[in-house]
Amino acid sequence: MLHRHLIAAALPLVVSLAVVRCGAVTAVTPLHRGESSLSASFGGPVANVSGMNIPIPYAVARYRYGLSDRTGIYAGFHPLAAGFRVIGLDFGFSYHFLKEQGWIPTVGAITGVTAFIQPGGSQALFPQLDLVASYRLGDRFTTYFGSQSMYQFSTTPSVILAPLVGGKFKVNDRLSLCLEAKWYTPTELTHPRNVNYTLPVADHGAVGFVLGAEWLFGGNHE
Amino acid sequence: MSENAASRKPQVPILRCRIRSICVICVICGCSLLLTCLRLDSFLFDPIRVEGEYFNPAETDTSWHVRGDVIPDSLIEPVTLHGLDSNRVYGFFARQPNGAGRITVLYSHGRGENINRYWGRVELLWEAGYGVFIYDYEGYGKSEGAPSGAACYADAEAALGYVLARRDVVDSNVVYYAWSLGSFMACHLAADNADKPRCLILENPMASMSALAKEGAVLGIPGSFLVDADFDNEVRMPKLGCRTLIIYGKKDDTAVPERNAEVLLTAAKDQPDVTGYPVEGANHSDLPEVMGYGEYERVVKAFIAGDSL
Repeated sequence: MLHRHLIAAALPLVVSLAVVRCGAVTAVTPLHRGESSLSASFGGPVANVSGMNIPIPYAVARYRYGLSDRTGIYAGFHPLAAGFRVIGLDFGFSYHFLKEQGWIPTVGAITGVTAFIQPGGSQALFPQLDLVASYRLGDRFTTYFGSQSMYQFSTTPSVILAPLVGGKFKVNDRLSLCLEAKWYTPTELTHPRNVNYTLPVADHGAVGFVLGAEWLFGGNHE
Repeated sequence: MSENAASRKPQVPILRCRIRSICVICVICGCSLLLTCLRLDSFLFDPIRVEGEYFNPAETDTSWHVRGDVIPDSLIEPVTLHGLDSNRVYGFFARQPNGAGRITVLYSHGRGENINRYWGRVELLWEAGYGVFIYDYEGYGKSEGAPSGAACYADAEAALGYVLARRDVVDSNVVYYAWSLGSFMACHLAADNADKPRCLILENPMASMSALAKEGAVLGIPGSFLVDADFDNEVRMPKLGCRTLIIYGKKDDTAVPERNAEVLLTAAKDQPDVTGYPVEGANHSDLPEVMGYGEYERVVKAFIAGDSL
């Protein structure tokens, strides 16, 4: 059916505007006090786009700053939203309340707001809360797991979850890369939808992948 | 190395880092500006142009059961209207013999192709005893211009103006009938004009662009983020001001009922004149076929007549 095929081809890219939890976890590990980082992440749930199964290419660029060795703030920019003449921003803070010690992982909470603002038009605000635990495996590798959640009050579901696992590889003192696998909206049925998500789990949600890079600078990092 | 020299050394790398940071931010902003033309509007429409004449059998979608010989040629009037920016908009009025004063259906078609595809539906309604006017939106069939929300609304208004201006049409006997995307045009005519139709029938309607986005991404975002078209039937439901039938397939996997027809019924829950009619087993395009033409005609005729379904 031509109608449906065309929608299936076009919508994943377009609707990706709404897949705002596509970005990688904001703060897997804390920054040192005064340290800054710039990060970019790219990816989302795997969907069929023009016959190819690819992660929806949602991009987020973020800056974060370490207020202390446990607490940080961040601000992010969503380039694809700008493509729709919508200003897409996220901002908030992170707090790591456990530091790795034996079997106890480093555990952090990241809370903030994602805001979409259409100049002269509508706005949409979504509070979010992420919890992430991480273990260092050697000098260069950190594995992490947790869940992202986003809240909406105007419609259902009120809570949009995304459990995740990921790995972060330290290329050098400044640069690290991460790959994250997420199960987006596990509480919702995958079909029928106008986007053909191709990696559901028991017809719920959509599995996706996000690739990220983070570059540290400033502070006492030297 | 003196203490002062040691403290100065990191400043150059830090400066370089900040310059690099600014460069990265500039690149991101630049890429964003390059993307500033992304809108969903062009994906809403899927027209097929007619270069020669309408009703060429080679260009007719047989899956829509166009029979072609139901309405005598002598009762089919080609019509040219003027839409947005005076673009020519084409339509056909299938009148009933001696049909003055009878009920006239203004048919707003769906997203795909052109009048050729939907002629089978015109035939069904004509057989039910109604005069039918169907028109192609700009960019569809032979209609000039390009489809857009504003153009479709202008075309629908021109079509209504034409129907009401006909001497054989009684204003109070005009029924708006729409399928799928056409529901935006029919709801616009009903909700945004003071003149109300006899009734409105929406077959497998779409709810809104916001619902479309939510269907794909679960998140509730305004439709205006995605499209320029003012396509929002949810908002218009309480303002229709006329008897309305929402007839929909329970197995519709394009305009999924719980995200479209049932959303509209919820939006109209305080409107006693809005009736839902779910059809078990029907998908987006096969509702009359699944119901059976006889039952489809019975339901449509009963609703138009004001009888119980």
